[in-house]
Amino acid sequence: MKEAKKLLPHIITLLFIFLSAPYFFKCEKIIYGFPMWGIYSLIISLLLSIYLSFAVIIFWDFLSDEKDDKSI
Amino acid sequence: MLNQKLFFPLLIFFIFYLTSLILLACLSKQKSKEKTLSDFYLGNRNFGFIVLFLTFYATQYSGNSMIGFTAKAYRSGFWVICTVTCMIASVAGIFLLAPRAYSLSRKYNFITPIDFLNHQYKSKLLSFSALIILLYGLATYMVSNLKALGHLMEFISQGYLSFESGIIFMALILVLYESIGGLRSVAYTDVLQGIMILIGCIGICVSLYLTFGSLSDIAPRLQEINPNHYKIPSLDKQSLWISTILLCFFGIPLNPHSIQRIYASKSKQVLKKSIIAMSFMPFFTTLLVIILGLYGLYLSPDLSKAESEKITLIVIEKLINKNLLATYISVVFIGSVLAAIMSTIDSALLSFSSMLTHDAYRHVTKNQTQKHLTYVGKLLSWITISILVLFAIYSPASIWRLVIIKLEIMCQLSPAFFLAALNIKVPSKKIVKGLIVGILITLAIIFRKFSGFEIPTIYSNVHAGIWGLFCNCIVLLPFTKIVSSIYSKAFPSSNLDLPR
Repeated sequence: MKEAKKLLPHIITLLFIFLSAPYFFKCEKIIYGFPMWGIYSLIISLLLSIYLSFAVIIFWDFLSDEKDDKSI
Repeated sequence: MLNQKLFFPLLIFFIFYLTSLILLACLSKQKSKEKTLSDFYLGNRNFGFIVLFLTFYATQYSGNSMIGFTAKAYRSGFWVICTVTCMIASVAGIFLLAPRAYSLSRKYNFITPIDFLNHQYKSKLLSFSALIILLYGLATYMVSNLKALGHLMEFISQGYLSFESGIIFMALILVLYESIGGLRSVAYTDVLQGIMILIGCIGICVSLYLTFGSLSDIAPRLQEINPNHYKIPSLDKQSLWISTILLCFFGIPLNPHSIQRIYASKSKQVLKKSIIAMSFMPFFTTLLVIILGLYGLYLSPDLSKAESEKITLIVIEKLINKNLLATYISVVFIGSVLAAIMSTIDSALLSFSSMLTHDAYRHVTKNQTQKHLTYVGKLLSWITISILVLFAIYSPASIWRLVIIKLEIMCQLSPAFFLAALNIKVPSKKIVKGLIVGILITLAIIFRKFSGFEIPTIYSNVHAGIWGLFCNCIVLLPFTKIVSSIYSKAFPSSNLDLPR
């Protein structure tokens, strides 16, 4: 269970990565010289950066696993 | 040929830059307290926030990021925005490795990434395989950056330095300052180089905006030149998009110099802050060089693929012709490209020699003193750079392709590193099996070209390395357990030994 929990930050990161591609975009509008789908991808990237900032604070000690560092 | 207006400011800047590198190396030498591998290769594990963040930053942005991404943006348009996510994903990968790698490195005095694997799996075969793959990755990385360095030096010296002599001259400078102070010297010079990259990227985009108008202003012309650049990427392209980001997520964090910077941090807090800051830097670097490529398309729309590789310098030329004030910021930007390349090569070279010394030479010749090992490490740096310079001068492949192949192979090691970072116990034999399968699949896809079939590193819009990694994981992960349990339930009397 603990091992599964440790995968949470990985899963969230992969989710952001998969969301960054504009699969479901139909609109080809241009905003500030960027296509709308490009803006969308940049926003997802920004959200990934913001998530990382929180993840570093929240998950660090959990991931460092300092109590259990014996190798196999 | 370079614009005449640029020549003298650039010459003065170049002399200042080279002098600063040597002075910073001498300063770092004074800070050195002992002749140990830890001091030479990890700066005595004592880097504060500014140094750690800027050395991470300068190292992560290579010649490929500064020149290659611009050229890609010129050719492929907004699709290249995925590289912003790529760079953030690579920081995410570093974050996922960092907590455990850092805490163990403090306890067990790790020097190289191989120490991390060794601690987790205690397998000589795995350590040796990882060593070969990482050395290959570093060598390829250095060769591609040396090539970029040669082209840049040829351009900015107006042909006074040829491609070959440009590489040799700059390689001499970097191996000299690296030998003086090791990682401390590299990190101090990275501080200067990181600042140059940041100022250069922001400055050049502001100059382009002031001279040619905003991206909105040039958008109608860009649409006219190539309407496809604004169209939503096809599903095939989006598949390639995800594949590229995954390749960066699994591959880039395994760069030995990135892992060694995790070890070199003064404290956990410093490392956390540096990773947070790094996660925002693609918006101030990658995104800006993409915009530069788009301005390039606006200014010179008819370049061939080969000519587009030099689009960065072509844009600068056009910018100076229009706006004399932009000369100085252009000088800084060219300096920043040079800095990005230099900082990548010096870090990779240092990691390369540290692994040769610590993971290979130390095991072959036991009971050597730290002083002797440090000396050997310096000697190996000189030998390595000499060989790589020859490769850079004579090897034919393009910059982008070399880097892509490197990541394809390196990401096969990611299960070993990520599972170690999660402290999930997996027998080393399984990791090695997965690694072998992953590499074989990757190489089979890449080298189909040579067996008469068509095309190379991408298969069904997914990189060969990602296919390899997928197969690697199938061998490695509980899938085999599930198969074996289904099999044993279906055929309880069977004593066929399936992999567990």
